[in-house]
Amino acid sequence: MDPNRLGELIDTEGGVISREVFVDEDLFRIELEQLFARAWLFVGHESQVPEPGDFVTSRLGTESVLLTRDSEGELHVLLNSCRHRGMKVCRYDEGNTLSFTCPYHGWSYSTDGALVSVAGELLGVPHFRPGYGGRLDRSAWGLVPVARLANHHGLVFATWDHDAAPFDEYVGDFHWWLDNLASSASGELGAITAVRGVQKWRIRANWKFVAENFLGDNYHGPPSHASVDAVGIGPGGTGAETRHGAAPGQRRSVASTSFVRLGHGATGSVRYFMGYPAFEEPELTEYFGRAFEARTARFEAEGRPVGAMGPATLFPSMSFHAGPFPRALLVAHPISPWETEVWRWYLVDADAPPEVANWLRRYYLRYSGPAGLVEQDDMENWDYATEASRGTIARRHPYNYQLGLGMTQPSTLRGAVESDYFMTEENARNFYRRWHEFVRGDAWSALMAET
Amino acid sequence: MTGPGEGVLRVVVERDRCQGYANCLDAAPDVFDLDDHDVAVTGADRYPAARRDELERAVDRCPARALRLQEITGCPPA
Repeated sequence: MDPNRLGELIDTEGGVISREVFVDEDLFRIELEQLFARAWLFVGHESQVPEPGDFVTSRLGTESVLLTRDSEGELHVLLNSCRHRGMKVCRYDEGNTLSFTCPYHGWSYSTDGALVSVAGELLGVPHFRPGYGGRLDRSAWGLVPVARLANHHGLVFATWDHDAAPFDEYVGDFHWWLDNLASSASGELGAITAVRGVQKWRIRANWKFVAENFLGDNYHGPPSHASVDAVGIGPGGTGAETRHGAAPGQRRSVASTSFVRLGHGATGSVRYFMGYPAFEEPELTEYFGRAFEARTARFEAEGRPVGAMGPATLFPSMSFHAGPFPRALLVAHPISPWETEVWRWYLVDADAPPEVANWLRRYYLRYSGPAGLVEQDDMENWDYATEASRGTIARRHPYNYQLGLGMTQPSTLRGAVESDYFMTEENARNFYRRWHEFVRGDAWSALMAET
Repeated sequence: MTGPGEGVLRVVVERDRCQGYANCLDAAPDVFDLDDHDVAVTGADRYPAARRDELERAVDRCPARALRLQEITGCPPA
């Protein structure tokens, strides 16, 4: 696959995208080099590493990384691969340590500021004197750190690219959605915690089908999720109008928001707020009722828009519901063109009473994740779409992305448009426009021009 | 009772744990050495309390956790 021919595969003006984009192995390799090695990617939530020495293993693209908090309380993201012969220096999901000793040959790295000057520095190698003549320059062989790290009100992101645009510029006005993701139900920034344990599971689908699903694909909702709607999977049970919990008479989503150059996309807008769902349990209704009242007052005082609930996707592969309910996020990690490892985090208010936190945890587990009833519908679609894209005959016939073509108007947000109708593929078209820019190797100056 | 100049700290080396990292040598070169088996040994059996910080630093720097400081109290051997 000649990267110069990429332009033939993506026609965002005409709304036609080749199936090769989802299954070609050369394109996948280029994605790893030009997209995942350069873009800002989600690592974890700071509540996962509250104390000095805490760490969790995370993932960027195809690679394992450690999110650590050093002895001085600073966060670091380090490649989980020994500089000697590549073995994982850490094979645990989480823990507390200031030193990582490789199980292969014993090279030892430290995040203790009392012992090393740079977090992840090579602290020691066995047989340093007789084996290396004392000559190995340990300061040059530390664990590979990311180029930049950003902590957005508790949401931790990183990039490997030293030339990457600053996180705030990369996000642009899409930050309203991230701000809400990082806020409690009452709208307090940072006042949330990740439910302990990240779900990790593999699907036989290309990662881009996952990203596309959340960035503004309202279209799939009624057919794909008809069965879960029928059984009342939402918080209101069979009594509610929809599984999103809209009470009778509440407006459904209108308009979707697409960041034309930056590639981020969201269902809904900064102006649209659904209101709190109709819960069957009175304590939930009371909790969220109070939270929403506080949120409304706070947002008015702080000048924050009432909407930006999502679901949404931060380009390229982090998707989320920004709450107040539900509030959860995922990353679609690439494995191959036709396999993806999905990671899911569930977020609750830091000071939520146990009965609320537990109710939410069980709700999220039955709705989303590998056993989630709603996620099942989506995964079935993504798996078959990927398989279909591989077919010898099928892959000659491109996908139709013409829903809502030419049906947008400017948003008040910088660089964004809103769709005329709440069902649109405008968000997807701009996602692939942005994908194309990264994958063909545009430099950051070009990527950020006119954004 | 320890007498003057006899010291109060002993560095104990767990020989089975030592991997010859030699970080202890770097931290306190006049205290530590490596023997013919590339295992850490100390030059003296005991060290004065004044060297506590330096010895603790050396102990902390061992990635194999092969060192520990032992307080020596009571009467020295006759």
